[in-house]
Amino acid sequence: MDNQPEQRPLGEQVLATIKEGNVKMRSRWYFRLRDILAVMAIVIILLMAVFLASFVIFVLHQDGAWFVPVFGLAGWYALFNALPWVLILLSLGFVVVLAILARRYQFGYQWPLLYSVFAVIFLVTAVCFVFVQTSLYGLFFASSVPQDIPFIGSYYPGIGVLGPENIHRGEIVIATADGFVLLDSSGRVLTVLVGPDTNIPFGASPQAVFRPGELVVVFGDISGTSTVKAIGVQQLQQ
Amino acid sequence: MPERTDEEVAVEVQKGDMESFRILVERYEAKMSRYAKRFLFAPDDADDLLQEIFIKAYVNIRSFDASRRFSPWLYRIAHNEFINALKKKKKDRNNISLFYVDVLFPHPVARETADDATSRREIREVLDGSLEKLGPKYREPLVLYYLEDMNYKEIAEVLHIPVSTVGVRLQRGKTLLRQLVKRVEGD
Repeated sequence: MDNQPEQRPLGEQVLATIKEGNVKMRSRWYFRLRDILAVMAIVIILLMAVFLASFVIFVLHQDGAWFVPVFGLAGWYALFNALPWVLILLSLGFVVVLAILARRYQFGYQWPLLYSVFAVIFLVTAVCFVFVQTSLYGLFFASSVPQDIPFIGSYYPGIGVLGPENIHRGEIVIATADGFVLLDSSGRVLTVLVGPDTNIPFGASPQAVFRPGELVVVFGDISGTSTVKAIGVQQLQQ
Repeated sequence: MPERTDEEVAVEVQKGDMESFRILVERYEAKMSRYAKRFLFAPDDADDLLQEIFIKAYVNIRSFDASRRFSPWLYRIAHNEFINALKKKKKDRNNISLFYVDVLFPHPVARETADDATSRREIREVLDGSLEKLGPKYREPLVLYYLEDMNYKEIAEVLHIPVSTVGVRLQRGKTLLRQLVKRVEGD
């Protein structure tokens, strides 16, 4: 004879556990709040990624490296060398975290992770470029707010000073017969020699560009102590 | 009167009709038990796991979107429970990964194979006898497709992976099965 007690059907066991009050159905608000928090986390990380990407553009603007690809392959190479890789890797870290967070939802997991990463990179880049176009961008990064942020603040003393040796951003002090004298962003006075081979993009005439007070980026190595034979000169908008 | 759909019953439960939950448990008890048996292989705590799945389903039922199908939602809860159970087992712990490379890269869009009835029956027979020799990564999609009769989209919803990855895992799983069968026949 089987003395084992007959086991109750699973449905009854589950219902009994529920009726005993040991488990309670979570309210819709619980899930709404959870979704809101998840969306907030996604938005905050997105903003942090946009902030870092915008800061990278700010650094490249200040160093002048942003403007040199217009001078061809050598310009692209100079830009590549000037990229702040730590900041870029940090931004990519945020992008990957964002893509992984999005995988909680169908729109995130229905594509390969690589596509999600590309989509987030595209989104961050698009938002970043829109931000860069606004007047808020320059004002924000020139203010003391980002300088008080740990890690980001440590970058500020080097901006425009520790940039690439062959890129010089500054203001024209005096126009000379064979070029001009430049006061660069680190405070150095450089004599810039402009020859017939010097690339001045967008068909601008030297006479129109090389006027005292104009902001320019000069691309070329320093020879001697303070002379630059310019490969290219790019006029910046004031 | 036509039988209410799972989704309609789930809506009643969401409104507070506790008794309707019994209908869902009765409808899915056998399926979940079979899924557990084929994925975890007669675990000592199978009954506890099944109870845990249904209790979690009850606790979280208000997160279920009634415009979608109930079945993949419940299987997703079961999947998470089973993965956690496997992680606790020494033998299977190393086969469970937080991240699989096949979800990283795109794959050619895998069409659902129209296996004829005979081929499907043969695969089911082989699968039943060889499941334990396959890792969870390939075992689970094979179980869901051939033994639980889910389509690619539903499997993707359960496993939270792209549909194309489901196709790739099924293809690789079948290849592994064939190799296993050949090895057994060769011995």
